[in-house]
Amino acid sequence: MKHIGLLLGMALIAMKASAIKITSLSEINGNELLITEIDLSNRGIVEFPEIILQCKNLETLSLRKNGFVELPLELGKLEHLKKLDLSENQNISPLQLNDLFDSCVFELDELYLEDCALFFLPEGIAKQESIAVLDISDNYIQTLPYAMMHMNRLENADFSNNKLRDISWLSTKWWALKEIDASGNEDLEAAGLLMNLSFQDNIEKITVSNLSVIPQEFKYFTGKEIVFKNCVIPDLPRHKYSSKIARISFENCVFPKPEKIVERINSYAKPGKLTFRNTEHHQLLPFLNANVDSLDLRDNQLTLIDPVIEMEKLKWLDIRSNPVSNKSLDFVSNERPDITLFASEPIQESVGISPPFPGREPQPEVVKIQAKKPQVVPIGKTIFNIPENAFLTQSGEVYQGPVDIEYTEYNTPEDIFLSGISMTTNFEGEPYMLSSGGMFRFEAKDQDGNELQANPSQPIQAKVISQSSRPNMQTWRMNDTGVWVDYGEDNMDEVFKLDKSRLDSIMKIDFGSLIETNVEYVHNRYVPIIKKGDRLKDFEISFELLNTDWRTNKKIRLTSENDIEVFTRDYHSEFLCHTNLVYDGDSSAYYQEKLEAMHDYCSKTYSKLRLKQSRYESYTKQGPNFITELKLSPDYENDNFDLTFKFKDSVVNIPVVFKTRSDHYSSKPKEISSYFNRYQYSFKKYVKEKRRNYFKIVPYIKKAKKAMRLRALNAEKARQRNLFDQRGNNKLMLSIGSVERSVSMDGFGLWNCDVRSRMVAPRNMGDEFYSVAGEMIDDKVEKVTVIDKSQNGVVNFDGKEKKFFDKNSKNVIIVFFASVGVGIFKSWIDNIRGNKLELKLLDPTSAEKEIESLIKEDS
Amino acid sequence: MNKWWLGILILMLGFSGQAQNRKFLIHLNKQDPFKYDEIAAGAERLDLINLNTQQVCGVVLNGVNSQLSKKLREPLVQDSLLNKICYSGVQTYSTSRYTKRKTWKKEEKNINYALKLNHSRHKMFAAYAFKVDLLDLPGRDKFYCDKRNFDSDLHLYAGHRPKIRNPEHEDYVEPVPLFAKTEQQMVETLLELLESNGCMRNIMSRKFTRIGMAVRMEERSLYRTKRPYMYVVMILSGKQNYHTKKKDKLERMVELEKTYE
Repeated sequence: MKHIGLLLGMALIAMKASAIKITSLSEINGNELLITEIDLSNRGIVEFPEIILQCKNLETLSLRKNGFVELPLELGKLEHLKKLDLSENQNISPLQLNDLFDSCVFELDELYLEDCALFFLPEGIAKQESIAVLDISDNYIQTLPYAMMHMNRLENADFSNNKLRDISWLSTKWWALKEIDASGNEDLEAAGLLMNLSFQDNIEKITVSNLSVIPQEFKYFTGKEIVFKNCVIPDLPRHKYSSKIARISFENCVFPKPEKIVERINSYAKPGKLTFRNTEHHQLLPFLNANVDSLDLRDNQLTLIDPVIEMEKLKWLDIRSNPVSNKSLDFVSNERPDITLFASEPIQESVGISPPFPGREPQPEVVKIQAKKPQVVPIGKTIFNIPENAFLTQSGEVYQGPVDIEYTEYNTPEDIFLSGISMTTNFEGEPYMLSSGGMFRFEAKDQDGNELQANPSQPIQAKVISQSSRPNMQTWRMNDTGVWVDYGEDNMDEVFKLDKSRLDSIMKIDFGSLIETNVEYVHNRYVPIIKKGDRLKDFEISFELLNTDWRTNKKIRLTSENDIEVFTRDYHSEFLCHTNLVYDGDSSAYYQEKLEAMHDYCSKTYSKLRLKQSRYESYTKQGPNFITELKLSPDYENDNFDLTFKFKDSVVNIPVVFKTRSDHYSSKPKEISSYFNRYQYSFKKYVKEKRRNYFKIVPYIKKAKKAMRLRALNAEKARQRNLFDQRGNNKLMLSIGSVERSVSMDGFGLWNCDVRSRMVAPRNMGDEFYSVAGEMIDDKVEKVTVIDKSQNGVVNFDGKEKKFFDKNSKNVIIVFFASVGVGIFKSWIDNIRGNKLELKLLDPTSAEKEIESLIKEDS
Repeated sequence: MNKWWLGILILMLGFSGQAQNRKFLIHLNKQDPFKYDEIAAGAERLDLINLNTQQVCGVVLNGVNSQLSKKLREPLVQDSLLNKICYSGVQTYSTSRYTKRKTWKKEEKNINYALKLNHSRHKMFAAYAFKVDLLDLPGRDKFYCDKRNFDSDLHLYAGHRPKIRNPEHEDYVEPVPLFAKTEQQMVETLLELLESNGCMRNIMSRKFTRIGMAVRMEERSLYRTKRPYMYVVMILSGKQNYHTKKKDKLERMVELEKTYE
């Protein structure tokens, strides 16, 4: 047996080792069963590639930013699929998405449906109970399906920029939740959501917006980070028992009494980092007395920062993009030299082209054309629209003969690094890194090899298929001195994106009057109680019933036009509350401690939810429900009963027997049977009530579903129409990419679509470098290159100056030593201790060959 | 002063009671579960001096199951755990447990605890302890013990002790030696006992499905003017949920409940 297990293990390891990640469809043939990861994002795909369905062992599928409409149902048969990314596919049919999730066999861990123009979330998604990461941001979703209450493994949820109204009830069911972003939902009941999330144990980060009052229950919040967006913050409820919050961010917030907030922060919240964005100067000034380690004041209107010298704990201050006077800056620098101050971008400006490894630059592609006629020439990922008389000779005459076009493209950070092209620019005296959305070199030669010039009166139009859909990018051209010159904003066109103004009109026509039905289930709460039993090492279990405040006799209540609240009495759970059960297992001490801990925890938490003014002892319907339903089932093999209930997201199963009045063999079974019959009767009563409620709700839900389907059909028709129009205009772009950027070339050379970008969280990398073995590398540093894979840019530092990298980005840091060789560090994999980087050292002779593949590797 | 002595005496009695309980559980802890070979009762007499308890138990269990088969009932299954508990009980119980009902009730609690400790899957039980007469002589007939006479292995003889021992005397009467019961007789006696104390009713009922027993020969009843006897501990057990199973419709209702979600 052992040998078989060993063989199986080895086979599994071998399978893992041979798992393949591919990025183009041509790589699939012959490797169908080995492929585990497919990334076809931004490929301009208009028809779902059927060949993907043959990859039976596929685990990760990314089809982000494409243009396909139909999703085949066979996709649901890929049983190993764990991660599905369909983001930014606005043409995707919501009906087919619905059908796919209704019939699929896979159990996803991660699902991304960001910016898919969804008007409703298919109910089948809620059946994917194993989902840990769910991203449905930037859609038009109004309500979440109530079946999502079963998604108790959900850890990271992004619901931002939708039209959600109330998800506070659902949030109490997601016990594993760590991060949630519910910002940008204007009609969301954010206060209720924040209240319910404050009781969650695992929560680490919450992002909320549009709050006018922060609920008092926020003082129980135990997470590490909170982000308030577009809020009015009159108070920050914390008390002396509240835990510390590591990071607090205020974006576009208004503080009626900022001094009060500062006091709360200093006394109770005690954050390590405070962040402010778009805050007015007079509102920010009081916060310069906060007792924090780091203060991020980027993008505000601060003119004076003198008060920060009083902040004893402050070590890190970011005031980039603020009109702070030089006098104030000098004052702070002199008074507090211990503060790491970022007044401008911490990078060094460079110009021109200096390849780090000459001879390994990307090589040009040569295409021959005739200059006589106007023509459209696609080369690589760029489509050139060349008019007639577009080329001039060196003497300025129009050239009409055959032309050799030399085209080189630099799309990836690896290409940019190897080309050695400078990616920095100076704007108003401050250096910036250029984040590239597509760069190419265009040169033209006549038959004899003489260079041709561009005709300024007949510019060539280039459409660059960009990997970035970032708006506000500019067109840049490198001049003869090696400096990038700004040619104004480029025209970005996302081929498969729906026209938002048209989409909004669809919303108004089809969705304006109809709102989806939102169902919320309310239950009573239960708290376990432990008593000592008759026999040695025995204990008795009973439960305390906490009545939920309901006030009316009606079980179903319409809270608004289409919001339903259903109160279902758990008769069977109530019966078990009035019955004493005796533990009947062999690890009584363990269960006793567990139940006692539950009792303490529940009592403590529920005491905060108790209504003080009610006539009878009752509790608010908001707040968590730790123990949802008590169930009993006979275990005939072990001759006892299993008491089952859900405590948060875990199922608790305890072997019990009923506590009987007599222990005699003639009366005990009868008594047990009697108890069980009463339990069955109460369960029957509960099922009947549930049935009654169900049939009352069903018409509402059916009506909503019918309307939803109609709306989806209409929306789909509009999308199809839009798609038809779009594709007619962009036939050449299909199957290349989804984002095009237009460049009007009045000269040849290096052209670039870029945006000036800042580091989000600059971090000093220090002057000491260590090898992977932990030994210090004692050698002179000549140059350090930081390749920012997230921003698609490259920055160089010389050996003497302070060197920084962005903590929030995916960076490859390459250190060129004088004699040892080249060291490489990947920020998302390798270790960093304090400010000391652990570098992988490459031999100087072979570094050139290895470094290219090392940068490309994602893991 | 007398009060002090009385107090100490009561304390000692308390300790001795606790010791009795512990004695049983310690003995039980050392034992391994076992089973008897069930065999039919023979016509030969029991050897009381070296009583084969394993065989006796096998014969009795066979006798009990044959009674059940006569009434077309399923036989009781021999339970090794119950045998183990019975064996520990019969070895450690004091004589009062077999005679006084009050003391036996205390012992039933210990058996309940022993069943729990050993993770028994049959929680309902009925336990019995009794003495079984092994002398082949009707109940009220007189007998005497004569250690000088070796005609009987048990040195027991019927009637009154003779005053004349000389065989040549004209009034001399030859003593009639008494013997132990045969296996069949022993089983019959035991079944009668079971019938009389209500155990047979439980055996015949369907609620008990398992049986365990153990016997011990009382050696102090040999070679003296006493009827030789053995101690028997018997436990019947069954499922306490057997009533529940008949009326269990819960599974169906749970399935029904899911349809209304």
